[in-house]
Amino acid sequence: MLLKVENLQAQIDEKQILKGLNIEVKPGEVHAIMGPNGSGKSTFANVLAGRDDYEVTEGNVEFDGEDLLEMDPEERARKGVFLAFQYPVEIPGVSNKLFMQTAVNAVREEKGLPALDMFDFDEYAQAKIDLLGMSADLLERSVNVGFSGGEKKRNDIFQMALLEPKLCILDETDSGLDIDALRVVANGVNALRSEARSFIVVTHYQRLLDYIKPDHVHVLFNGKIVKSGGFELVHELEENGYDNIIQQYLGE
Amino acid sequence: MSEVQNNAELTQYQEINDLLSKNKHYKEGFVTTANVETFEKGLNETVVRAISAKKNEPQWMLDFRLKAFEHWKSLEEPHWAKAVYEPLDYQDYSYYSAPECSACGDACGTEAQQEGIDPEVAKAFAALGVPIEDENSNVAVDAIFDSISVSTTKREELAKLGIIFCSFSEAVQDYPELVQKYLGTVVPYHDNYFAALNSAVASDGTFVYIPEGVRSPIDLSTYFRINEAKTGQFERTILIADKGSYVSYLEGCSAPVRDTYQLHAAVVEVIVHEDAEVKYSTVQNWYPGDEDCEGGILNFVTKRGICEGKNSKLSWTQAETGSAITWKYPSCVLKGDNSIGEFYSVALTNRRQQADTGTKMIHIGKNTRSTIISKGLSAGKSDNTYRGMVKITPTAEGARNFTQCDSMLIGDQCGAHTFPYIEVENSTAQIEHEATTSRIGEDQLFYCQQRGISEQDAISMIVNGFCKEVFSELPLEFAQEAEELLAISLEGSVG
Amino acid sequence: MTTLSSSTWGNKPLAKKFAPVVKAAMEHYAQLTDDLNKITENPGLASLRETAKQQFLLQGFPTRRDEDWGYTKLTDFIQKPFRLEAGIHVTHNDIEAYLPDYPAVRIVMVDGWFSESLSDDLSGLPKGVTIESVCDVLETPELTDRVTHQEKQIEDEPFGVLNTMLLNDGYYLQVSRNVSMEMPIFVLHVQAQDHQVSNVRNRVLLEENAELTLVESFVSLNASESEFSGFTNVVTEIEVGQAARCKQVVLQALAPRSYYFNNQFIEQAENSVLNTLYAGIGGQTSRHQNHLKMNGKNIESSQNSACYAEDSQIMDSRTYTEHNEFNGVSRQLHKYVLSGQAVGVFDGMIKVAQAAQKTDGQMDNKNLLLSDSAQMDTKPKLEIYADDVKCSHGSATGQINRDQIFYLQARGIRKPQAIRMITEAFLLEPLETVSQPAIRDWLAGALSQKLNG
Repeated sequence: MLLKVENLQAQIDEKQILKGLNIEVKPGEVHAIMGPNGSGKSTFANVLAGRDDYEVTEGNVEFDGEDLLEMDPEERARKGVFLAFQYPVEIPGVSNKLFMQTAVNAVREEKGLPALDMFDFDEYAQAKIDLLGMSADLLERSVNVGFSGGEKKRNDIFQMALLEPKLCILDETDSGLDIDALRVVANGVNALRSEARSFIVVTHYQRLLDYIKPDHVHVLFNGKIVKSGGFELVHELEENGYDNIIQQYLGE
Repeated sequence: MSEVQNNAELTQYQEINDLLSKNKHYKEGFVTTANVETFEKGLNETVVRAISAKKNEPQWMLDFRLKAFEHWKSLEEPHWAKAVYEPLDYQDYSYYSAPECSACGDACGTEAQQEGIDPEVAKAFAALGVPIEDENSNVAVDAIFDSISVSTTKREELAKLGIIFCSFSEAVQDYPELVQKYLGTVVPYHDNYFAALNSAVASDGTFVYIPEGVRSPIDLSTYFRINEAKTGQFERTILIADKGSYVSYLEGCSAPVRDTYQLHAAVVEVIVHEDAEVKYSTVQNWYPGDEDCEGGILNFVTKRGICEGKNSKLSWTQAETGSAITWKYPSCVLKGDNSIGEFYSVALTNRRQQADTGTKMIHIGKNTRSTIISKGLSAGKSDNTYRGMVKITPTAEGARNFTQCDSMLIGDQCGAHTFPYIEVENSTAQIEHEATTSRIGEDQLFYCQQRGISEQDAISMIVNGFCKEVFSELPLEFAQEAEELLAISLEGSVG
Repeated sequence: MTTLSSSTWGNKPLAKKFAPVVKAAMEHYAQLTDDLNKITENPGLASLRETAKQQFLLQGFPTRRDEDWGYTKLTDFIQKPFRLEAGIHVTHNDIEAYLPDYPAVRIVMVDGWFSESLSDDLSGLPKGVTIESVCDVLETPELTDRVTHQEKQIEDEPFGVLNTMLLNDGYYLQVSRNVSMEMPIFVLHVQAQDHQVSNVRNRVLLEENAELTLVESFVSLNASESEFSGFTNVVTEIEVGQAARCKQVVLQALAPRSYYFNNQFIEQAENSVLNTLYAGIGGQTSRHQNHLKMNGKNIESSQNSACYAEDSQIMDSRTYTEHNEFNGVSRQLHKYVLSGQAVGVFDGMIKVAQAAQKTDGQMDNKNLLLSDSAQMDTKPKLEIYADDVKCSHGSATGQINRDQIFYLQARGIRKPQAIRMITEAFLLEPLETVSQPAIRDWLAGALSQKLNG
């Protein structure tokens, strides 16, 4: 088991958002978490990454056999948890290259690998750029500064490729993207899928999932998973919306 | 900087280590125990005459000093800067201090450099990483220790090109007509309180003359060091770039750890003729004082340049991290048509430091252009103020200015202030001023951490990113030094 | 030894020396105080004026050496001693043209005196809305405090001291808790007599959750007489209570030789909203100053100005904005169009106290110089003591964008008209924050007419 979440409860500003969430993710699996606005999807993604705005009040999260909740955000990143942000932040003056070289070397250090110097890193990054079919000037620009919404998301996918994480969490990565950008993100994810790498795709819409085809789909409502299923659940949701499932759940 | 620890067997460096352990923020904080001749504390006409006599000065220089001294007595110490301090007791400083050279056992003033340098002083500069005896270095250095210049390197090499690079005192002796022609033309003795004081008691400084059409092949630099306690350093630097010439000039400063304020009131005059270009870079790391900034350097400096000729260019770049109080506005008078003035500044304040710094861009010539990029970082309980003036006079047809002032606050006990003065008297001018205030965002930190970068590294990365536009203007070695200084000065300010 | 902790420097009393002409002007205004006090029956008021007079005699008029007066020279003003005499008869016909073309409660002040005969009948005001003449309030000794609240701050301003010295009339306006005054209150300030002081002291109080729209218009009746010169000196205190909403518009369209000084001291409480706009087109020397304290959480404020100056007019607009509490938002846009030898001055300060985290302050100043001899002096300042803030200011001065002119020309518009259109659009932008279309149109009309006249 790569990730095991048990009875996870979390709050922000004393408002309970997650109310006992359970999920298990095996290596190589792709899970989608769907749900209406305000159901707790982004909270879940951010709690896994260790954002301290959220307070975990109950529950356990085990990642690769270790207690994830005990770790600092950078420790989680170094161990292989990657969050693609809903709103990637701008960092003026810091080049993507310096930023990612520092990050890649932090992860390599964790793995006991030697640091990449500038030349090695260039080579390494170029390979990833080719893999994802991205433009090379991405590295020269300041982190997310002046990037369009689509470019920011692509940059996150690129970072994912560089850091080679074990668990990728995509937090509403599809919001606000046009269909071409969406395809770039989906292709990026598909290119990075492997036996050893798992994904949690958090989204409100099914359209990204049509490209990614998750193995498992969960519906999150009011801080809990209220229904789980296979890819067919995506189409059920597409046809009937969340209401049916929520009514069903509330009826029980 | 070289490793001072290597010399730990010497008692003098024992002292350094003690100081370093007490004051890890300031690694230049050691005291040199060379034999020195220091004047009694106090300031009066006799002292002014004595300084002049000590330096064997001609009558015109003495007259200049006396005139300035008379004027200074009629002035009041200015306190308009955003810094709080009690009026200084000018009688409590010594106005002349010089290491005696070991060769003649006497304080022989300017001759010190011909006769050889006191080994203790040489060690001090070596510890600071200033290459005063390194013939392979790619910079020429004028090293100034308290009131006098102790060494000027590479002068023969430069002399072949006609470049004069010597101490101010020597220039008074050897090039009196040049000094007389330019002294006080950009910063007159009556310009302001500290300029008047400097004109009266000017200690030493650097004199640079680049002849017509010569591009200086190496960077010229001056390293200032205040060593004696309760001493003022009043250097006077004059830099002249004749027609079509180019020079990059660097200056660095430090002082030992003392528990009383040391006063630094320098005047720098730069004259840039037609088609010439001067790049003037400063890394200022004067001792900022203890945790409460007691005993730090009071840095009251007047730096001004004039772009005298057509198409001339003067560029000031400064990284200010030291001093208890900084009062400094390197300025450009853009007189020649199409001349260009630039000011790039990073000022970092921590603890209780107070910095009030900025620039003045006075546009007189047609199509003159100026750019101001100022980055202020405040941490601890410090106050950091940008104060700048852009003045477009009626003759400055087609003048343009762009100003960007960004402040970053690190912690909630500090202050960041922006006080621009913009005066436009020509309708064809185009003036733009922007200022922002920000802090290191939680979301920026989290983003970096999520990518595996530690908080401390993230902060230093974000801060250097913030200052990048300015650091890219510094010569490479200086830029590195500035980045390191920033990291040291910021240590412990976050978290 | 020097220490950094002490802040005692500079407190030594300065024995100021004044030039004979300044001294004469000071004595003239001191005499006016004495004259007023002779006929005053309220001892509290007399002593208030007398204290201010003593302070004024010590500090005198500011000179260009004073940091805040370097760009606003007063030499002409000081040479003209203005009188304080009983009002002349002004009729409805005289002021008709200056009254608004939209429904409003109309108050008229003539040379600084509240005119009951020219103002609307105030007995019909909605419940919870009070308007009184300050002169009436001051008849009752114990009510002096109602008229002045921030007296210390007022007397920090040279023209504030002068205003207290000559305190005689103004309006007192109160809107009670939960009352929304829907119809605008329109105050017409008239300069009627030549060489006369119009000394106005107002107090505006919005209680919790109250709402008010206040329009003030400053005019000279004899503006066509080229030498007519009046001196209007206003101090207005505005208190915006919790969750109250105050909208204010000030139009200054005095005669070209007149003087105008207006100091507004505004205090805002939690969750309140302030929206104030100054439009300046008249006066020889004019200076409009807001001193705004945002004293509670979640406050919003907007302060704009639109100024057009020509000939040798000096037009000065200033804001001082204090963010003192959490989560305040302040917005400012100040625009100047200058022609002839006019001088425009903008001075703005945003000060953010340590407690004012999450402050969002923005101040913009944009200026258009239409002639070679016009001059613009700008000081947009920030003083920040809290780290989690978003503050910025911008300032730009220049000519009309040639590309814009060309674009309009390319669409068939003649150059002079293109310039007019662009200039007008530039000047009117700050009016976008005025939410009532009738008031916005009225203001825009006044500005356009001046610009194109």
